[in-house]
Amino acid sequence: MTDITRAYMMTYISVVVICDICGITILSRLSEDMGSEEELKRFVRFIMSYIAFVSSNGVCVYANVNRIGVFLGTIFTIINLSAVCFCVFEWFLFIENKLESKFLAKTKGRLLFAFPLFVLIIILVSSPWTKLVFYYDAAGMFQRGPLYIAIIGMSGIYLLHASFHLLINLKYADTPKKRREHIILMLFLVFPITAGIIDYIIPHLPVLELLALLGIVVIFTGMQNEQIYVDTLTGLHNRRGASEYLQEHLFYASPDNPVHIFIVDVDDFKKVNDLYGHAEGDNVMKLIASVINEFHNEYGFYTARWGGDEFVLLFEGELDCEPSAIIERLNRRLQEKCEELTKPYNLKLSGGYSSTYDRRITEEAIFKSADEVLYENKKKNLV
Amino acid sequence: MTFTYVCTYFIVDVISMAIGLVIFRRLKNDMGSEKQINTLRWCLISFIFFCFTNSLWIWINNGYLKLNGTINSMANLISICAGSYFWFSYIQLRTNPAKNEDWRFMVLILLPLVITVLTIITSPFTKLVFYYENGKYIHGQLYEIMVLLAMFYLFIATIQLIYYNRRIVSKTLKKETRTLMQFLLYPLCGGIVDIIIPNLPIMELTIIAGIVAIFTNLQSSRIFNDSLTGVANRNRVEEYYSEQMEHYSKDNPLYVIIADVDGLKNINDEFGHYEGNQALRMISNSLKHIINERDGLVARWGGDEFLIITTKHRVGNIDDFIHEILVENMEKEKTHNLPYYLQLSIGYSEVLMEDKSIEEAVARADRMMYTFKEEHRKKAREKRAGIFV
Repeated sequence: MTDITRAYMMTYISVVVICDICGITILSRLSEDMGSEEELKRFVRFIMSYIAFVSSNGVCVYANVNRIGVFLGTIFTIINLSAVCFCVFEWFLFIENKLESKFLAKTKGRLLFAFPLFVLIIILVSSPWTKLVFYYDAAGMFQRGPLYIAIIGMSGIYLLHASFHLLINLKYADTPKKRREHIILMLFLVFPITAGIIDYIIPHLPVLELLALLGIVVIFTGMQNEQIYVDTLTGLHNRRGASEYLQEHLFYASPDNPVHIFIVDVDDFKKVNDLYGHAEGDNVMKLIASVINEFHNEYGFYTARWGGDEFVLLFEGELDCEPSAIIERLNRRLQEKCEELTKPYNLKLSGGYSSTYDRRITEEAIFKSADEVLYENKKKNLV
Repeated sequence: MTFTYVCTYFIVDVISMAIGLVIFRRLKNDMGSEKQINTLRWCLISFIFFCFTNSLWIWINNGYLKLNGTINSMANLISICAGSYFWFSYIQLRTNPAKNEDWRFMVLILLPLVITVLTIITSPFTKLVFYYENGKYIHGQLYEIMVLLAMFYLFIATIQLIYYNRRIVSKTLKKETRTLMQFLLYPLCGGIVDIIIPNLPIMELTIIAGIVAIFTNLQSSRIFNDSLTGVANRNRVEEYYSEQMEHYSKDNPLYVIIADVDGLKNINDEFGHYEGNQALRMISNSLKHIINERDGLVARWGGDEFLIITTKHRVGNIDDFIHEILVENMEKEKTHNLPYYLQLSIGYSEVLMEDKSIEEAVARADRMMYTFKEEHRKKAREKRAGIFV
């Protein structure tokens, strides 16, 4: 091996090692700081497949430079190309989950979209015999088969689908922050395309690993930024987020644009904690949060955990019913959920609410008036 | 193959610069003290400069770019030396900020950098560190010494970090130390590898790994820390409480201590919010100092309220502990010559098994704290009325 070749190989392997280390660093941060929401789980899987992809790339470069033989070369190439496919698919699922795609939430939907991936893997694994994707010729040289381009093409289609879906949904991103986030995710497509173009002009460069790392750093630090406003136990927003939301939206309150606040807390939470322990207490919180979140998904409420066992729902605009009806709906849904999960207890929320059409009302004032209603209702419920 | 190798090296430098820039732009002022954030910014600036000059160097040195590389190499070597000084400086600000005030130490520690930079600048003439001959970059006799001097800063920082790690007890701080170690040791290893196997872009890569580690950690501290004082925020308290309650035991229960700053509103009104914020910072620092010796959590619970959560065994006698807190704060008054009274009202409560959340223990501690607050107010009124105790 010449010096230059060795220098190239070691440079590539250093890149692989560092990309792996960065990926692992980010993985450990993900599991520590952030809740166990579906979105983050998906991102974790994407990072893991990124690490697999990068590592297998490194192994392949080492293998190709050192001419380790056809058998090992075949195995490594299969692993490498599969890793590319899985990585792309995990990215696709991450984006679809972020866009709250209902179709892909179902197993049937996921299986359908995974089908091309399965086909591709089968073709890939059978390639040493069919010579469709790649093979080693008589001289032991690596050769691309006619369907090699299919791997690239299929990966490209998954990526394009994700970016296109993001583009369509851009109009639903109603805050500047969300828009920025959307655009960053869309632009992630640029990296594989750029890497592909560069690879066509000057092959064997670690462009994709490095560009993907850049993208991952950008996306992850953005996620961390968001987390400042999230309650880690329930995944709802936290007090800080609710407070800021209230302040921002009270600014725009007007006679035809009211702002509503709902405060709910759990009756007899103490009893549940006593009888079933703290862990079950946490589960109760999560259960209530999931019910409240349905109100976020369906009606567009801003939902937050205010602290302890108090939750807050905020809404800007005209409500389609009386505020007390919202509380009733919440309780009905909560009871349904408790029955669904065959919980040994029945949960009930007491709620208070307040609305304002006047932008001069302060956050403290509107909160206080909702709190007073809550106090009254709680007294009624105890009777 | 040369072209592929050069392109690979170049791509590493370009992406490293991009990542450095992204992180530079995302540094926020509430990720640490002003000095710390500024030092971190300089770390990144020198790193970006290093990558840039490296990306030019790889083309020049392999004959693809016909330029005089002298100025570029000068800038390159200066940026790596300055960078290692800034790296050390940041570690020092995190582990031993008091030493920064000792100007004799600061001058002494700056000396090697100054000497190194002067040697580099004069090098094209003296040929001591590097020079160009027929367009080729050649190491001078003192090149290794220069490298060692740059590493010297990293070594000192490592020693500081080791001593710091031995001093602290709190688990949260131990986690922070692990991140600081990554920030330091990745580049250090990169430097060592660079000496053994030159001509790899290993420095850029290891520094990126260290930067990613520290930055993601600083961001997560924003999630769990109060932006003004740096102590934990409510988010963190909930989490800590859940963690601690998992090992609840009747003979070593949790204690919640609430410390309320008397008359913060008056301080804000009379001396301005800046002074009020400084007061909060002083108090939080002394609370942190007391807890770091023992292990526990200090949090900002409200505008002028702090929480301390720790276990009975770690606190010892609770009244002595509270006395310690009060004394520590009175010292602060004297040493800083404050134009106002810095007084805390303190209450505490044991956390009971039946408590549904930490709010209950806080409420009990609050009630106790209130009785002390009333006493303080009464005393203040009596003093003003001329009745001496």
